[in-house]
Amino acid sequence: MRALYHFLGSVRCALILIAAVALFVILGTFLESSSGSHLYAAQFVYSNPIFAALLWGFFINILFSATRRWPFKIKHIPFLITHMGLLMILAGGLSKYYFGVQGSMHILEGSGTHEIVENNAFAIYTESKGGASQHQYPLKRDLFGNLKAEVASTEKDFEHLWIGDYSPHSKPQLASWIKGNHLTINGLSPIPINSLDISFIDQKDPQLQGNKVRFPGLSDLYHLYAFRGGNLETIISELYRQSAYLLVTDRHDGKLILKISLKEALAVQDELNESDDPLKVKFFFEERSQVPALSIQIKLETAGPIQTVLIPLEGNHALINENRSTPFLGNLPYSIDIEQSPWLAFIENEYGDIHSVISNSHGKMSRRLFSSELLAPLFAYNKGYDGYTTRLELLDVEGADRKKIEGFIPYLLKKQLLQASMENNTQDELTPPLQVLMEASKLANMNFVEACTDFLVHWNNTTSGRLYSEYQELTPSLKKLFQHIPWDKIPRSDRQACLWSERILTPLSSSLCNGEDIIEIMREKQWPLLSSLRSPSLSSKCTHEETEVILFKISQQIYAAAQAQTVLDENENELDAFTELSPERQASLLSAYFRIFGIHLSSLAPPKDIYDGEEMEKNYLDYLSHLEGVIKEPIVLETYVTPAAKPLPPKRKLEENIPHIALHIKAGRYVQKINLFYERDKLGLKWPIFNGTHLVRFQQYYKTIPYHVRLRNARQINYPNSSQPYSYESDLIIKDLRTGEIVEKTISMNNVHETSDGYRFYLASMNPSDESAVKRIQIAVNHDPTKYWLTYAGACILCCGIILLFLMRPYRNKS
Amino acid sequence: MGLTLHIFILMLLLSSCTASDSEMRLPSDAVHEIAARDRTGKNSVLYRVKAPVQWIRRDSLPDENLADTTKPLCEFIIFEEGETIRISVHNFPSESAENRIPPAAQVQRWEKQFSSFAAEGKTVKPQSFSGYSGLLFKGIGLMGEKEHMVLAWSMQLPLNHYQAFSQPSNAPQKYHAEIHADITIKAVGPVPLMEKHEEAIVSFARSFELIEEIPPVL
Repeated sequence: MRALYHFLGSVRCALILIAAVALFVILGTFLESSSGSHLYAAQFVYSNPIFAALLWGFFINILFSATRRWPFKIKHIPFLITHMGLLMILAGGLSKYYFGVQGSMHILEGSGTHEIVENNAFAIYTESKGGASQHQYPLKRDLFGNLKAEVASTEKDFEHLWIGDYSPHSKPQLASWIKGNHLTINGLSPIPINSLDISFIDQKDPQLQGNKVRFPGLSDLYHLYAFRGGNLETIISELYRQSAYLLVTDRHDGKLILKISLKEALAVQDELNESDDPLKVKFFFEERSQVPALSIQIKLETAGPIQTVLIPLEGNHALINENRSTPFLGNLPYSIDIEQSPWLAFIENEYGDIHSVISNSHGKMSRRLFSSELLAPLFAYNKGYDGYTTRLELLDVEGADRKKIEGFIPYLLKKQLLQASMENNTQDELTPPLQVLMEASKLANMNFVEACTDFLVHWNNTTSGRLYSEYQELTPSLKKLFQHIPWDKIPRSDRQACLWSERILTPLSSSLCNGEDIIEIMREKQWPLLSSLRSPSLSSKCTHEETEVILFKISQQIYAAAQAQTVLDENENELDAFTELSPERQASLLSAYFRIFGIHLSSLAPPKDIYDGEEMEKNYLDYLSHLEGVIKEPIVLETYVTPAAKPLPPKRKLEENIPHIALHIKAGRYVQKINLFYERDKLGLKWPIFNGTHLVRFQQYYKTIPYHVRLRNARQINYPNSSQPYSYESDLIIKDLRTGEIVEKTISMNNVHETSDGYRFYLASMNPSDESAVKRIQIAVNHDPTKYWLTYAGACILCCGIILLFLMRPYRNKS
Repeated sequence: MGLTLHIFILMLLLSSCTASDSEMRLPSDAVHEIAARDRTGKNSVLYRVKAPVQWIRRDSLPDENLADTTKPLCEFIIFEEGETIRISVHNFPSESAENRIPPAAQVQRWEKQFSSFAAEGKTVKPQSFSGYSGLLFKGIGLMGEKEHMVLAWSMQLPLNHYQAFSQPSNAPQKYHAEIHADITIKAVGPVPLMEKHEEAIVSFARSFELIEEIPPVL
């Protein structure tokens, strides 16, 4: 025993301890530099119980080396003072290790707190309904930094808490529509998911699992599907393929020309000119907008032209037939509609995000993405005690068909015309063709806006040519309108231009419809201004856009020629007898006048790229609200949201890890298990347990300090005339909760506030650093309870001891 | 003797440093408290702000009805060399967060208050302080026949702060109904005088805050 006592107080023991500490410090430095993580080094070295034991070893070594001098003599005084100083410094270090405070505060401008969160210290926080009982259960770690299974055995709200599964790092997720292997919608029984693998696309007719559901307020029966994995485009394509039919109808009389299943049309592989198939369809996502669409090649007559129609399936222009062969001639003479059993699908991708896709009985589709990381919208029932839900609002599901959607453009046009007529009260503000139409509507006692829109829509819907066809019968109201066209008020030269335009453009339309190039046609006709239509150096066939421009140029050239009276018409009398012509012929001539001024329904419609803008969406919903047969009140589906996490390999930089636990809680006879992921900074949702009697959260361990800190302002100070930050400052109001004393203080990066009892407040970070939003700061807080009377006092005593050692020179005297 | 002399010199140096510090100190600000429009209930003193002691505060008459939001809660006047800067503080109570006036709309309104105004002479910057966020408008233009500068803040509580005051556990017992009202602070005066006091006006505006601390968000 005596030998041990002498060894513990010996220089040899001190050397062993110094060597051991040096090794630990070297290891800590190496770990920190290799991992880039201070926490990693702290966990394995500085916060390790072995390192604490070494500090205690130093304490014992210094204490015993002093007591070994007993009985003390005068000459021992410097030695004893030096050792006392060392012991006080070590005691200060140990007391800070065990009783000190080290953490951080997060405060938003205008708010305050007296709670700090401890770095890398985890806790389970529970709260009873109404907040009457709040508890925090700190989680313990083993030597390797892993969380221990036992959390607490307690007589508080719960008898026992323990951790089942534990992942040091995970990706936090929120499970919503698809939980486990089922689609869950509140009020409906769970529906099993279709797990897809690569073989799905190889199967010709994969059997899809789903249920049929009738939503309240909707007459259609919806097929409900859920999918995990698989390509979104493939799944949507397959759902359309299995249920949709294409209906081709004559635009003039509405008669059904052809009905074919999409499955059949998609299966056509050969080119249409080499096969007897009337349709060939491709399903694809448009490259820029990522809108799903059907590209349909159609050949209705054996020797007829092959025309291409594009039908977008999503957005405010969904289902509208886009003429891709001859867009400059307006609509094709037929229209294509979709008919199907409506369906709603939830598709989970590899990241856990869920796409909801709904397609109504006319094939109009709408999608929404529910991100697994940040669900929006998120609804809390009873502050979260009754759980959290997310919702899907289904609008415009029933009744929205092609015809109704096509009506949106005339609706917008009417709105624009009304606005224009309100803003510009005089007729003179309108272009000449519109002035004529306004005059005619006055004479016919009709509303100009209605009459103008009706004509443009009728022209667009019934005629597949550049001008209105005189062989296409007008509606009774339009007939009445065209019996009142005041041709005599139109200059004679303009009438001449209308007549020439009609003569040139009408045959041109049929040639263009057969796929001929406009430059070639005009060359054959020996058009005198051919070189001005397109550069002669260009030999390729004109694109649709070029053709549109050239047709407009031709109208302009005709108009210019008529104004200049360079060519005389052989039948001049016809110019004075427009009023005697049939209303249909007059409509044809007026449409030529419209074309000269660039007026057509398609040219007045808003560009496609602004179709889905916010303003357009508002207009679209406004339009829907005026329609009959379209559901105006949204159908709302809801599902509960639960915490989930995907385990990931832990990172070496431990600060970036997000642990995940499966927590078991026992209360009475009941045990509940809940998956929780770590919520940094005490933020994030608290989850309900035991049927909403309590909330629970896995968070940073927090403790209260006796100072309440309120943040008034935080700011970045820049160098003069620069955006480079010079400093960051925060104005604080610090209130001592024990005495009520209030101090106003500005802290900055190098300006720390220290209270009289040793609490130090450092400004650690600020976000955002500019003035774009309310700022949030992080203040590092530390408190060394024995700093002044152990550490600092010990250092002073140590200095005194060293000075005395030199002054009294006890060892030299001895030698 | 030598040691005594050294201590004496050291103390002399320290005392001289203190004296020069006190000479450089700026005149202190006074803390002003500002009440809500509806001053009938308790907790109606909502705001506080720091203003230089030389500024003159002007409040409404005790029997004046402030329900009309065009009337300021209070005004501060800087009177110098026969010219005046008027700094008015308004609040705009709202029944819900959705019904609030966007800060940009206030800026547009201020622009229209000039009889002649060059758009290139204005600056609009985002601002945040004391839990509010919004816009700072600075513009120079004619008001009547004289060139004036307007320095104005249109601020509102962000949605989470607004909701924190509206939590069932907090309202209506604890807080005044106007606690989450939007605020505007507008200083108008002749350009040279405004330029001279611009820094003080900015400090004044940025010291504006709610007396009540914004409660933690759920």
